[in-house]
Amino acid sequence: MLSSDLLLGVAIAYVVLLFAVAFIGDSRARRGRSAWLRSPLVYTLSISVYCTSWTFYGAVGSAARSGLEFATIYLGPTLVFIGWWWCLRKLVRIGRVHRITSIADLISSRYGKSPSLAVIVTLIAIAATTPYIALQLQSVTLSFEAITGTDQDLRSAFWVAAGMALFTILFGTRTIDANERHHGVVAAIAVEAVVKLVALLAIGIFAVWGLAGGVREIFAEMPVGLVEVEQIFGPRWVTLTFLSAAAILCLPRQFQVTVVENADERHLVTASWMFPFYLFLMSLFVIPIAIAGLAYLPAGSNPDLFVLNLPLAFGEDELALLAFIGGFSSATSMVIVAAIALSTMVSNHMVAPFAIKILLKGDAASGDVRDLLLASRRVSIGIILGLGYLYYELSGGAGALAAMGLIAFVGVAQILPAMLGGIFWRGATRSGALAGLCGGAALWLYTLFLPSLGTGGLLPEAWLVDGPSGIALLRPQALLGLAGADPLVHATVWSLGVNTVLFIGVSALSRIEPLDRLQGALFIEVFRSPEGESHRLIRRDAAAEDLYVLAQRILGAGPARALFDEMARAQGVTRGLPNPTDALIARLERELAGSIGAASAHAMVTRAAGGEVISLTELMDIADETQRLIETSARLADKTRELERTAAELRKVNERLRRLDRQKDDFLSQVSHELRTPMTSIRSFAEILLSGTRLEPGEIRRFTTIIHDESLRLTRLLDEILDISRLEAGHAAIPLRPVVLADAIAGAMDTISGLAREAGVGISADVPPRQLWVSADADRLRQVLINLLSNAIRYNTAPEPRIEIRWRAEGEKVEVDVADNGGGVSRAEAEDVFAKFTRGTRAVEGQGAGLGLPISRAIMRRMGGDLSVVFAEDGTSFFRVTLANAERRPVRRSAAAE
Amino acid sequence: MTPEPAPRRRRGASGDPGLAVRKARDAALALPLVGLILVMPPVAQIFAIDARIGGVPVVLAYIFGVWILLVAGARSVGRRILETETLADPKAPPAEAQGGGEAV
Repeated sequence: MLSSDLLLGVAIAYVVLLFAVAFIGDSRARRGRSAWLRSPLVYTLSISVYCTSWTFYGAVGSAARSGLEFATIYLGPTLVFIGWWWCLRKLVRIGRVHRITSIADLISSRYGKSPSLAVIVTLIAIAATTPYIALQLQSVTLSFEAITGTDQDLRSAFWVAAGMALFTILFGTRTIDANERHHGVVAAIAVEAVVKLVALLAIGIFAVWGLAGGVREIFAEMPVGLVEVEQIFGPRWVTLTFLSAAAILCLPRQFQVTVVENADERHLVTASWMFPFYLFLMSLFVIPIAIAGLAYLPAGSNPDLFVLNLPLAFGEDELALLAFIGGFSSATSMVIVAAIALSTMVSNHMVAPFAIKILLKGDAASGDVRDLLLASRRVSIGIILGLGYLYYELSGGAGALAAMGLIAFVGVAQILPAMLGGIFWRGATRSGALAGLCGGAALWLYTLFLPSLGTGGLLPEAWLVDGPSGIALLRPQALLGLAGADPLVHATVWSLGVNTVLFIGVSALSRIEPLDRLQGALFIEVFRSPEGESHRLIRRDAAAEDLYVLAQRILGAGPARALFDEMARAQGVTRGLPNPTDALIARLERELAGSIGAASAHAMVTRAAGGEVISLTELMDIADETQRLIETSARLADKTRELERTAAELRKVNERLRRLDRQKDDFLSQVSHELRTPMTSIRSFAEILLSGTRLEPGEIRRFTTIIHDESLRLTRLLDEILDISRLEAGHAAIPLRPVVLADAIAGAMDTISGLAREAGVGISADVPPRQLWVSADADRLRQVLINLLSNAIRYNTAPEPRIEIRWRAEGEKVEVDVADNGGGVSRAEAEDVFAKFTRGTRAVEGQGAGLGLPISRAIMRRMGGDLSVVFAEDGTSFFRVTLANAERRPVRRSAAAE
Repeated sequence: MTPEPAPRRRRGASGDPGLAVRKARDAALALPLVGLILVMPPVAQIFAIDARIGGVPVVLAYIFGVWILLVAGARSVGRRILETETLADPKAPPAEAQGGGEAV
């Protein structure tokens, strides 16, 4: 046995360590060095405040009593977190956009900033959390007694409660702005999360490998019936999984760490798998520890203390101490966070409304609401822990840990319908939420909470057995004769069933208040509506001075100054207060909501701003319009993207048009230049002839010949220009017929033979067989070939000029190559030769207009073929005419064969 | 002309950024449903048999096996979401509309 002094010393040392961690965390954050505090790991660890001492001690107790059932408490949250995209993502975003301070604030803000809803949710939360806090005090006390073997009883529980209250007040109420993170607290909670995980894993490893000697061995010790395979997946399994899933969303402390303390939405992505993994590790050794406890501890030991008693029974005092610290960690972290969350709710929703009344009654200069609210938060922390202590003392520590925790779960689950309806269902109304919450909470109290206090509690025993005044139909645990069910399943089905039916039914029947409808649209469409949208929908009027005074009282002088300076800068006002626009009033209301809750902030701003000057019907119209606006803006965004794409396309088309226009200009100027040369010579010779100067008959003849030749050249040029423009515009339809390729080649060679002989160029042709038909127009094909041959003759400067014509049929294609030994064209000018009025570097000035190749290519393309420059492997180049084979049976032959 | 990819989105393996985003979202929506079906009756009941695997009761191994697989699945889904999705950075100042005096 460890001495009680040592244990107390260790506990105090541990608390001092927590204070130190919290203090360091806070002071680092204040100096702006809080990067690690904002990490996803710390966020995840802080969510593990879900694992209280109920998990640490109670899970093993539950496993020893009902086997695998304990796992449901962790499977529910696992499913909610891996399904974060459904619900948590939206909650976190709403929490950030609307500066939500607590779950009560969320419900109230959604349903038209209703103060009454906030109070009801706060009361439900307190009622559900009080036994939960009592549970933590009980577990700490029990563990203390188990280790020391003494009967410390209430004294230690009292000091535990007092210590936790002090810690929470010191680090949880530094500021009233709930959106300002409690860095110190979060740091301490993260440390505690690690401690409890390490402790439970250590006990588990000790039980499996230290005591039993392996996995197989420990499960060999498993008592028959611990894992009841027949009944395990029954109604209780489903109910408990559902309740734990609801709890991870609705428990005030979970809402606090998951939504309010969230610093970055991306952290949720990490937590979505890391938190389930944490739960997995916490649950991994629960069954083995339970088996070890049942097998090795004396019969009749409290299963809820197996975690502690196992190492104690085997003399492992250090391990027992670690287990004690682990359990202590679980208890303290839960109590601290729950106290912060509940005190925020109490001060914002129960104290702040009175504070507003006092503020509005007194003269403008008196009082700082901030101090009052901070004080109320501190007092309520004391009261909440006091209530927990009171419950613990009254109930005398009765009941198993797990049962007490489940009562709390069913209680907070009453918030679920209003919460989910609020963020997904536009038809949900304030009256519906009110009816559902009240009905559900009443049934929860009647069917579960009051009976749980036992027969000595508030309900007389006769009620439990026979129903009130002997009316059996109203028996708390068998309502309307629904007997035989598990009390927990019975209470869950009744309370949540009635809750949901009332919520939906009353919502459907009641009228939606304008502000209710507006907030509903903003919540449900939170991913699509721009922030601060609401200011456009409510018109208010206020003096800037009044608003400033209001802000000073609630936010404090410094932050108010900073806020108003910032808003003035945004408006472009350099001196004095900003203009009290609707946007400014809405922003101020949001900032105040972050400190005192949406309902109170709305009430205060409305009083200062003299109420909404807009008529209710108009607001109603506008609220309807919000939805349309939001949808329209989404559609507009799509349209804008589409327009941008269209504009980009138009820009490209425009660019192409401009390029074409430039080409047309170039073409025109080249055409005029080309026409000018023959015209000039015709005119000058005609002038000579006209001048009447005596000329030799030979001279006259020569001049006339020149004029004639130049006219012919001019005509040819004009024909060519007409030709190419027709071809390019696509007007000249070229009828395609099967043509014997050999005839076309022979015809072209005949035509060119005179010119070739003159220039002394030898032409060798590989004439294809007469069966080879190609799809073309005979004249046009001959025109192309003549053009290629005449180019090859004219531009050939080789000492022994030669031209070679080759052909090749390959599948559907027939290729005719015209090659010469004149050097060909360079790679750089391979495409330029097909541009109009350009000649290759081999061309001599004055020879042709440079339209031949472009025309030829246009012709070939119109005939479904092509004309291109091909480069052989030895670097020489030649022209290749590609044609379509017109024969059914293609003639196969490669050039190398002959 | 190919449409320009939406800004701030990384191209997925398929080359269609919209598709990658949709697939990541679908996976995020489907995973909890798959988990729910696996740990609830009647599917879970299939594994509620009185047998052991390596000394461990089958039903125990099944529940914890599904659990760790769900964790792994959530991890890979989370990574894909982070790659494809732009989650808001709350540190950025709230977008306050200017000159909000105009009525709707």
